[in-house]
Amino acid sequence: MSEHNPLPRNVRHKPHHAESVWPILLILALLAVVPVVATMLDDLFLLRFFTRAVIFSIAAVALNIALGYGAMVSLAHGAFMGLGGYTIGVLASADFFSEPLVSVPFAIGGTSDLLVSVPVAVAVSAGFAAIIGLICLRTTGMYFIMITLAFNQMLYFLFVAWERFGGEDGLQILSELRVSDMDPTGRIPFFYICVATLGLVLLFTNRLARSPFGLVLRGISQNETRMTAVGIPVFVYRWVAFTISGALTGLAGAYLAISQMFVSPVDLYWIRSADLVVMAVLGGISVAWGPVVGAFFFLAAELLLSSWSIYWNMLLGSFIILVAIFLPSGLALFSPLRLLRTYRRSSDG
Amino acid sequence: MADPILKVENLTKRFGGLAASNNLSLEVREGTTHAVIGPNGAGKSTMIAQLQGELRPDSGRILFEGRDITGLPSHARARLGIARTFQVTSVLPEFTVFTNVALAIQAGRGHSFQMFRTAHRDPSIRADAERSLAAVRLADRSASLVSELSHGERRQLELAIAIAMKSRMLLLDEPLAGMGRNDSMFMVQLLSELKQRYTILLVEHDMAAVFHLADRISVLVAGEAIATGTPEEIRGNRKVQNAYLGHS
Amino acid sequence: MSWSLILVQSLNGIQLGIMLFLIAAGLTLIFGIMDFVNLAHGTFYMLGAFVAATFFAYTGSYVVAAVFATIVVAIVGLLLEVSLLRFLYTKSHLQHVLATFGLILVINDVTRLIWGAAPKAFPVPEALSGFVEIMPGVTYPVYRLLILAVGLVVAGLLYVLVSHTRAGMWVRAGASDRDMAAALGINVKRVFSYVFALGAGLAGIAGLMTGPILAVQIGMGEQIIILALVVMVIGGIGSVRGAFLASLFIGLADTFGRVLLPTSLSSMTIFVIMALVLTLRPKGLFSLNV
Repeated sequence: MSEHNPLPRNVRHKPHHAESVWPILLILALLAVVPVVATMLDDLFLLRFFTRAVIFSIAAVALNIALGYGAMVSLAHGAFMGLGGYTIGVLASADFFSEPLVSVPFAIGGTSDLLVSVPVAVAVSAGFAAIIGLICLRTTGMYFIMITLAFNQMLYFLFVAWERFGGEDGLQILSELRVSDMDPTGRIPFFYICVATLGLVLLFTNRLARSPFGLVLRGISQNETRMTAVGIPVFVYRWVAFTISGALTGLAGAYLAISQMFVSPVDLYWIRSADLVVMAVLGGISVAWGPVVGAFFFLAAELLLSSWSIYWNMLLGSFIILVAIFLPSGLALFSPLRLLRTYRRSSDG
Repeated sequence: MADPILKVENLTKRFGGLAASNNLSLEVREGTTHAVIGPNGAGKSTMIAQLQGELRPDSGRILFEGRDITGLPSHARARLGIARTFQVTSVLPEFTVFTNVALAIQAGRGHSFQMFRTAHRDPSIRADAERSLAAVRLADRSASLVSELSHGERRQLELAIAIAMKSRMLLLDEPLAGMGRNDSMFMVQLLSELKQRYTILLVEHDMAAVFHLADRISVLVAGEAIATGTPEEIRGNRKVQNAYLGHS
Repeated sequence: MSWSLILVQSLNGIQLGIMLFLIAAGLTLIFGIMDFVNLAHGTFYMLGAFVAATFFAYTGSYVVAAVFATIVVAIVGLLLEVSLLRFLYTKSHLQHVLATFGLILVINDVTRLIWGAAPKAFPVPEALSGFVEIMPGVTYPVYRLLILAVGLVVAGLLYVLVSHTRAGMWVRAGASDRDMAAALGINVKRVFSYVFALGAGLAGIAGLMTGPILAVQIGMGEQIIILALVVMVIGGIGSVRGAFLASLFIGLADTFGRVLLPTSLSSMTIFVIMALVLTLRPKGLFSLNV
């Protein structure tokens, strides 16, 4: 009985040199136009939606480094995202109230300078991912899913209990966040920062997939025994991938905090982790940009369907089920021709 | 003649009350093809698992090129130069034949923590890969996905990977398992070409192949090597005949 | 901490454990036998409570409501398996997660459609609403004792079913080697359907029994599924015995944790335990897939 079969069995990875950059560039080009359209339509909400969708896209793409390439189904990425956000919030709060975070052994104060707090947020998420990775990666399959969930929930309850930083009610970011002396939180500039970051993360992931590291990772996800037999210390490579994935998800979390000017334990709850996994799988885990499609689709569906009917959960849920059964490679790689071919092949037995 | 390249000393492994390996000792001399045969349940798989590093013996030692590798993890043994093929073919199904081999070569050349350049562009990797594939007559399938290969071709691929690892010893676990007559003959032909250049420890059931290929044979019964010698010596050995050949 | 408190909380803990077992048993059987991750298993728990509450309101008889609800939930499980879920067996765990996540959304909305969004009233039946003195000066609700008793009986029956009957043998055969079982003439598809229905029914029983003491509302499934997954993992996937021991352990640990620790830290207890267990035994305590 296989206990570790995380990749869809009928997904075919193209030979590594064939993963094209063009879809990524297209996505970036389309996104670049959004603020223009929003301004023309005088629709601020549109921009806010797209900002949120881009941020979640970053998180889902980052998760996919572990999930799609490394076959590590993690339910801890909500925690990484939340941790990134809380780092921003906690540092800003300490700055606003002029209270040092710790006084012993030496005083660490807060800051509202994003050039400081964003890297710190990434570092904190990376650190957490590295530490729990050492423990979680000793397990596989369902056990891995559950232990990542456990650590996610531990962090969640920790922040719920932490009254100093808002507890269950969350933490408002009251100080004025800035990059050096500039204010980056204007809607449009911030949107472009998010899009640029998404672009970088996508290009990095795309490169990673065909790099020596990426191939080792993908090899491990297909056949761990074979990789060990050629001399690869599997644990180390998985751990590095997991840490990088967590770090970049933390970056997305930092952005989310900046865009919301608010963090709360909800950002850390396991449902957030599950949402990220659903976004990635829905979009397609075998290409770098698949999770972008998934994130946009998921958030748009939530938004649009809920305005059509109060029973929008049913509609979204049904759609997800259909995708799971009929489109295992995800929406991104959806092509009617491929669907037809699959059915012809399966009816031939 | 120097020390044997592989020395197994008194390997013992118990599962509950059963000793799957019972003071098992054998030696493989460099440049030879050493076959291990034995009836089902003799402990061949357990032996391989311990040589591989999947199982830790309860007692005993494994020495490779004079070095005690008994406690070494599997991947480290591969890096030391022990390349293996699997009884049930184990390759990377979603990559091409070429990538399977190139990845093994890449893994052998230091670490793989480069994340920014495209893998396998290095002409020396391509050359090595092509050479290994040519040695097993799989060069024309280089660009095919593994999922398109036949069972026999996958076996050839495993062999190509093992060769590509620039290994010091090949550990072949029933390379002829599940093969039809033509495929078997072809594999035996390949192996007899390879044995000129490699030290091979071969576990096999196919007696004809074993007697054709092996320089030395060890017979495993109930976890112990009851006889070791040249094929002629083994053929004439009374103990072996009683335990094994007589019943086959 | 007094003895009476220890006794009462122990009973509460065991009761929680038994309820968790009913849910986790199905979960672990389904995962162990069909290799299927069912996140939506908690919805059967919820449906058991809702259906029983409705039948109780109509008939006034708790027993009738309980029996009907169990049957209904088992049938729902069976229909779901036959019409939908069996198409996912050949797919990866990720597709299972995706599909059952979607299923949660659908079932929750269907529940809202039928019963409305407000929590459903499910009072403890009159006859069982009293207290008994289990120790001098210590009273305990009759209803909770009933849950304990019924739960233990059901657990016992399940044990007998799985280890001492022909049907159970088929189930275990299907678990260890699907193809071989099929070759031996066991109708594997049918076994799977029945296992699924059984799991659903058990979860339904847990739901209908817990309904009167907890709120019967949409979302109660999501809360309990996490606990059940924790139990399944600690016990070892595929092991009913492991699920039983782990449920009792988690039931007691969670209950005493809430008594002894401040609120939010106590919620962490079971997760810390699970992390510890998996660190020492990466496949749970009694996993079949060693």
